[in-house]
Amino acid sequence: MKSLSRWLIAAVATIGSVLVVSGTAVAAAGQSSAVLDLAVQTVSANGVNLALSAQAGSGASGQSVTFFVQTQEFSSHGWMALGTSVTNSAGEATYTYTPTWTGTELFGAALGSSDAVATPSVTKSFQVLKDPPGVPQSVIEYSRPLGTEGGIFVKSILSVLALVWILLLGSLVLVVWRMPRLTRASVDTSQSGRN
Amino acid sequence: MKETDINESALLNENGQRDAEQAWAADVRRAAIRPTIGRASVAWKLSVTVLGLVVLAGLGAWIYQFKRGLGAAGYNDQAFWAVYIVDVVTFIGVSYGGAVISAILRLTGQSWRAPLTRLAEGTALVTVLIGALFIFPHLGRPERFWEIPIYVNTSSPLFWDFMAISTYVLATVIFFYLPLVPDMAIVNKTLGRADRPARFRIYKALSLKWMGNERQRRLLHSVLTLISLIIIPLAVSVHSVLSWAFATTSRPGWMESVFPPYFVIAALYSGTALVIVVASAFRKGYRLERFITKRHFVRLGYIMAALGLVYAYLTIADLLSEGYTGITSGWIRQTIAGRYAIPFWFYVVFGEVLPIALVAVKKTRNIKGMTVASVGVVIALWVKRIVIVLPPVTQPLIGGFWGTYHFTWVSITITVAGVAAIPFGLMLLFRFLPVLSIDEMEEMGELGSVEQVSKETLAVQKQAPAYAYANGNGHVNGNGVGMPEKEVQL
Amino acid sequence: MRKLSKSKQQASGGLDLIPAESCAIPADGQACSIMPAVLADEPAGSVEKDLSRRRFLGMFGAVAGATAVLGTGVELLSYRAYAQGLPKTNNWTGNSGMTGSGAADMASTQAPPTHQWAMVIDLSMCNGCGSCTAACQKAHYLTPDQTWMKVFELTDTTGQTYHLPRPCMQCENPPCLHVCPVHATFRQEQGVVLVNQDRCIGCRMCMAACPYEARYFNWNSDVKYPPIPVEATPEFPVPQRLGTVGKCTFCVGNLNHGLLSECAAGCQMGAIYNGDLKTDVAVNSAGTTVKLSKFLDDNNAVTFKPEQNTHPRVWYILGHGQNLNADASTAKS
Repeated sequence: MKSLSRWLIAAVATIGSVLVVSGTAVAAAGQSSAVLDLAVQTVSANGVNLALSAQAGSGASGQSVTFFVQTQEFSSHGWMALGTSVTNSAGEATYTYTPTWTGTELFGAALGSSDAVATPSVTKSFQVLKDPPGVPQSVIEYSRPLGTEGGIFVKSILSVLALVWILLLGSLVLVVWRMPRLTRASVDTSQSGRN
Repeated sequence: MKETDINESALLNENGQRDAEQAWAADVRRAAIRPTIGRASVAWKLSVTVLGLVVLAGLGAWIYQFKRGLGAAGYNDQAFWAVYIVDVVTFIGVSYGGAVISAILRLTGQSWRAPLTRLAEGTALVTVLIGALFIFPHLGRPERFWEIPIYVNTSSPLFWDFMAISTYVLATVIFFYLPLVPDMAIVNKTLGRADRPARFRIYKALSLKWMGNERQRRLLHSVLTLISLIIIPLAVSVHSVLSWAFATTSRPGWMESVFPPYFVIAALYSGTALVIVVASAFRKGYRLERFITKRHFVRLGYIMAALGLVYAYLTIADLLSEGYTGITSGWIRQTIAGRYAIPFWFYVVFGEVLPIALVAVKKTRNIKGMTVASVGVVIALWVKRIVIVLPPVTQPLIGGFWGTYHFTWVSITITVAGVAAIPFGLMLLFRFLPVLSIDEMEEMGELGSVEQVSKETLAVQKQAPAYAYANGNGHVNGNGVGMPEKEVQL
Repeated sequence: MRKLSKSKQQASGGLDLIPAESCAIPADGQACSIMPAVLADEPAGSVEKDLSRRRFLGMFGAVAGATAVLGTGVELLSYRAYAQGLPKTNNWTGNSGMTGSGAADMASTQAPPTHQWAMVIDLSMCNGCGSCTAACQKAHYLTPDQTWMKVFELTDTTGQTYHLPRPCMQCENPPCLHVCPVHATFRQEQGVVLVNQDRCIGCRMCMAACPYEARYFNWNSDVKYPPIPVEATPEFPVPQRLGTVGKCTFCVGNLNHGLLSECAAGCQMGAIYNGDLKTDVAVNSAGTTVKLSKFLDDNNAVTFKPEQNTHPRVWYILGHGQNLNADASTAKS
């Protein structure tokens, strides 16, 4: 019940409610002076692919724009270059990105190729509320050799082993139990009926 | 040992006389029972004391190692498996020989086996227990051994080792006990109740009211046949599983498809050799010269030599394919011409060339020759297992240098204690149980057990039972010492 | 019920994604298997916090905050904080999984086990200085021969010497785990292979099975440890138990605090990257942040001894003329 409600809450704020916050910044010095505008625009049908788009101004076609995301795994919180794309005739560059984590993702963009720029000039945050598929999320389990306890091979070996134990102990018990009762010399005696 | 310890009247037949067969039976009983109910000789006491002290020293060394860690036994990260796993494989291996030899000879109806079975089965019992105990010094945390059957991991070769060895120990104990049942009745008949009341009661309980009648014999025979049939594949599986503890790793030199038969044959080979050594020692020490004769040694020697040839073949098969391609041949180079060359060639000389030569040359094909050959084989196969274990362990898998294993006083003491535990255990065992399988030997008769084996010979001998050593009065010549040993042409 | 009604209100905001459906989709099955475990027993009203990545870093509250301030410089403190934050029975009892109160503790105090730790070692950057080994040994109080992180000196195909740092490969198909008779070796949720030294029987079968020589035994009782106020855990097995096996833990405690592993932090060359397959990020001591998959792809990263079918979580970026697999067999002897 709890988890269900949680799921619903999560669903509420999820990918459908995309925040499209506009932010503007002047591109880094040494780059084109075009104003870069980053938008986190579209959500694909299954709710995981994000289309990042950067508007570099209407006249700025054919320019490289590098997209970034800020990493949270290590305390350095570095800007990680996602990829580079080129602006079209409308001055817009797009990049499709699959988020890898639930929570607030901080995206960024900068004019220039990924070799040339290391930090974004504009940033924008976006909330991802559902774990995306397609990335390893739990431990990949390779099957262990002879490890599937229900495996037919292991089962049959264990059955044979059990049979051997039964035969061995059975023989011992048989002898211990039967031998003292065979004290009459011959099988043909009246005692044989008791067998 | 006083003659009066034995109830002489029990040795006589209904007529109060000894015929030839009765005389044979009497001698067998005398030889088998005297060491158990007679007074212990000074030599026996001395040997048991000395051996016991060695075993105690081993236990002390093990306690020291338990406190100090396995580093005290010379282990390190590049020699993480060494002497104790070799001891486990060796002791369980020699045990296997005793059990399988006894089982195969029983199944094939070899009547000459009769004087040897008890010794072979006793050796199997004692050595398998020692071998299983050597797992404890091998472990870093022996006190957690109980976890193996609790936190079962069927993927682990060690789990299957545990299953196989425990099953094999059970089979060996049963296989030792069941042929003992008739002998218990015989010993009890000989031993008066008044002399040793406690022992008398134990023997009586163990004898299961054995009368030796047809039905009892039939029951015992069929059960023993069944267990013989079980124990052979069981022993094969034990040593195969032991070998898979090595062969299921990806180490060059261990990941070999030849390993299971390699280990099985090594076990049979060294096991046969140990039976010869034990038979030779007990023949002297327990005055069994009359029953265990040159013929037994020569026959066992033939079996041993055949197994030795198979083992040589498997050794070559193991080394050649990898050595030829050279893909992972570092360990082979080190084995043949490098740091492990001395033990390897020791094995070649004393484990193959010498014993096979001693069997091949007619002049040395006698008790002494076979004994020397067997001692060589037992030691050389321990050394060979060192050569199987250490090169793959100490080889560098990524880069760098070969590791080394140094024997320390701890590992040497514990191993020597294990070796000493074999005669120690056997001498204690045969202090309470007859050293010969009396019932079987009586059943086979003297001809079957000793002289054998062709029916013609049997027939001829039966017509003229001229026993040089039993005179007409039924007097048996002393302890059997000084008997003219029947030289039988093979 | 309060929560349910609240969620229903919010759900009326035009949303088509409901958990039952997403769980039914096979591709999402993995996600579903994790999320409920995280959310199950937590107090209500903290959903957004729970889902925040930042929350993950701050999961142990003030202590972890102190760690973050001190950065990678702290050694023992981070471990203490880590160990204090952990429930007594965290999921390192081998195959048995979480049971009873341990599961509840875990759910309420531990972050979602969704990181999938990995490592990238750039051999072209490694100069063989051995500072990674030294840092590792210092942090884990190892004896000089216990080189959990070992730098091998090998020869490449051009005859040049190069250096190969070798941590535990954290195999996804670990042979050491398969052969352990008592499940003392296990793989935790983040893909890190650890040893439960309170269960290990010291049979050393894992040492035989490991193709990377990555396991080290505690041979001697005369190793001296300083007084350490926390209990040894598989994540931080200090002091180590005599007669059991130990190995590189990937410093998984560090990683879960947003710190680099000791070897990565200690590498002045920045040759060692700690990475996360899940978020596709890798970071080295120089602070270089790379997109893991792209980084591996662009540099033709390889795993060591792929023929062993172990699927390591450690990738190597080769410099000029180096060939890990050829070199492995031509080791000098």
